[in-house]
Amino acid sequence: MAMPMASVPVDVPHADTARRAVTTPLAGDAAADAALLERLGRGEPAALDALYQRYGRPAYSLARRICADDGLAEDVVQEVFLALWRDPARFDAARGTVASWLMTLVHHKAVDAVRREATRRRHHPTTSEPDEGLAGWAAAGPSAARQALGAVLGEQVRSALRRLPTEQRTALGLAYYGGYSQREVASLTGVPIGTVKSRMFAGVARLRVLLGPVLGPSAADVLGDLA
Amino acid sequence: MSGCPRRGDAVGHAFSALEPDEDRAFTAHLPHCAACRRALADATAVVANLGAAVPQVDPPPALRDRLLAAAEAEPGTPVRLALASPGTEARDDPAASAPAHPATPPRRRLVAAAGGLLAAVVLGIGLIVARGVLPTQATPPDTPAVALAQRADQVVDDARSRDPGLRSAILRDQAGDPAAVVLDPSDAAAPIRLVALDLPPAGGANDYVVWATGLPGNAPVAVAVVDPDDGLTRPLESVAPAGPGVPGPRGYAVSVEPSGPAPARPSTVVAVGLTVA
Repeated sequence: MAMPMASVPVDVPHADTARRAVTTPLAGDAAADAALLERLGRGEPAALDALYQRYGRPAYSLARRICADDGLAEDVVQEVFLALWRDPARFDAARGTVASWLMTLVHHKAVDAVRREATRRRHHPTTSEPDEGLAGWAAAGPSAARQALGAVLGEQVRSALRRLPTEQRTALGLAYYGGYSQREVASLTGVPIGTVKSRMFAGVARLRVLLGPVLGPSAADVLGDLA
Repeated sequence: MSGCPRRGDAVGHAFSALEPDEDRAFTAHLPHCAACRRALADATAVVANLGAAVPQVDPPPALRDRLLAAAEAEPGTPVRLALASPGTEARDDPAASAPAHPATPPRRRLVAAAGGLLAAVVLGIGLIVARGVLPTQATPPDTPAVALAQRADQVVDDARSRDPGLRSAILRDQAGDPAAVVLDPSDAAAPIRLVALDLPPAGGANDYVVWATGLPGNAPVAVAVVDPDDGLTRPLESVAPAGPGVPGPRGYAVSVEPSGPAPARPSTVVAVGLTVA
C-alpha cells in the first residue's frame, strides 16, 4: 500500500535566483560560524547561545516533525547543541556547513529518540510528507533574513521532492520524515525491502541532481575514484 | 561510477534507516569500498538539506534557558577547537563511519566462550581449540579481538533493547575471536539473523550456512543461508522442532558451502557459539 502524497502549493524559485540566494549569504555564515565555534572551543556560553539563536529554530522544527512530540523534540535539540558544546572539534568544516552538520545530527538523534519511543510512535499517523507551508517563517526580527533564506531552500527541497516518482518520494519521506527503518518502510508499503533500498537509492540520486545548486558537486564529481 | 551491491545501504545509513545489524555490517564494509563512500557522501548531503522542507516552528523560550543552564552545569571545560582536523570523527557524527550507538563497555561472556567448545562437540567435528576463547582476559584492550568482542556485545545489546526476550549466540572462529552473532527473536515466527563481524571470506560461488546445534538428536540443522554479497540472512524452511516445551538450539554454527541447496551436514565450519537467553 503506497502512502498518498499530498500536493504542496509552493512556487519554485528560478534556479539562478535560488543559487544566488543560497550561496552568497552562506559564505558570510560560514565565517561567522567559524568564529562562534572558536569561541565555543574556549568555553564561552555566549557562543553557544548565538549558535542556538542561529540554528535552534530549524533544528527544533525538524526534530518536532520527526518526533511528533514537543517534549521529545526539545530533548533532541538540547542533546545536539550540548554535544557541540562538549566537543566543538567534532564538526569538520571540510565536510560541510555547521547548518548541514547540525541538521544531519538532529535527524539522526530524532530518529533514535523516535525508535526508543516505538510503542508510542505506532499510534502516530504515518506520513511521508514534510508538511505544507512555512508557518511562522516570516516573523520579523534580526534573523528574518536567515529565515527567508531557509524558506528559499525549503521551497527548493519541496519542489525537488515533488518531482520524484511517487514510489521514490514515499520511500524517502517515510524514512526521513517518519523516522522509519527501511524494513519498516517495506512493511508499510507492501514491497520487498530490496525494492525499498532501490527506490531510496534512485530517489537520492535524483535529488542529488535536482538540488545540485544547493548541494554543490557530488563526491563522485569531485573525488572520482579517490573518494 | 563503479557499482557495489551495498550502495543501497549507504542511503539507508545516511537516513539512519538501517537495522542495527545491517548498520554494523555496512560500517565494517565502508572502509573497503570507494563506491559506498561516494554514495554515502552524496546521500549525507541530501539528508542535510531535507530538513529545510519542514514547517518552521519557534522552539519554546524555556528550551534556550534549559540548554544554557545544562551547558554551564557541564563538568570540565570544552576541548580546544581543532577545526577540520583530518580523521576527526565523532561517534555520533552521522556522516562518519563509526557505529551510531555508543559503544558498550567490554564484558566477558564466559558462557558464550565455553559454548564454542560445547558446540564443537555437538557438531562432532572438534574444530575449535581453546586458545583465545577468553580474549578479553589476557589481551591488551586495543587489539582487534577486543574490538570484535565489543562489537559483538554491542550487536546483542542493541537487538535486546528492542526485543528483551531475544536469544543470541556469539560465534567464534578457530582462534576464539568473535566472528559473527546470531540473533534469534523471541517471536518464534520471526526469522533468525546472522550479523557477520569477521567471518573468513567465503570465496566465489559460496555462501555462509547457519546451523542450529544441540537440538534433540544432536544433528546440526541448516536454518539460514547468507549471501556474502549482500549480507542478508535468508531463512530456510525450518525443520527444527519449535514450540512450547520444545527446547531451542543450544548453539549455532556457520559453515562455508557451495551456493545452492544446503548440504545435510556442514562441511567447512568457520565459527560456532552457544546460545544465551
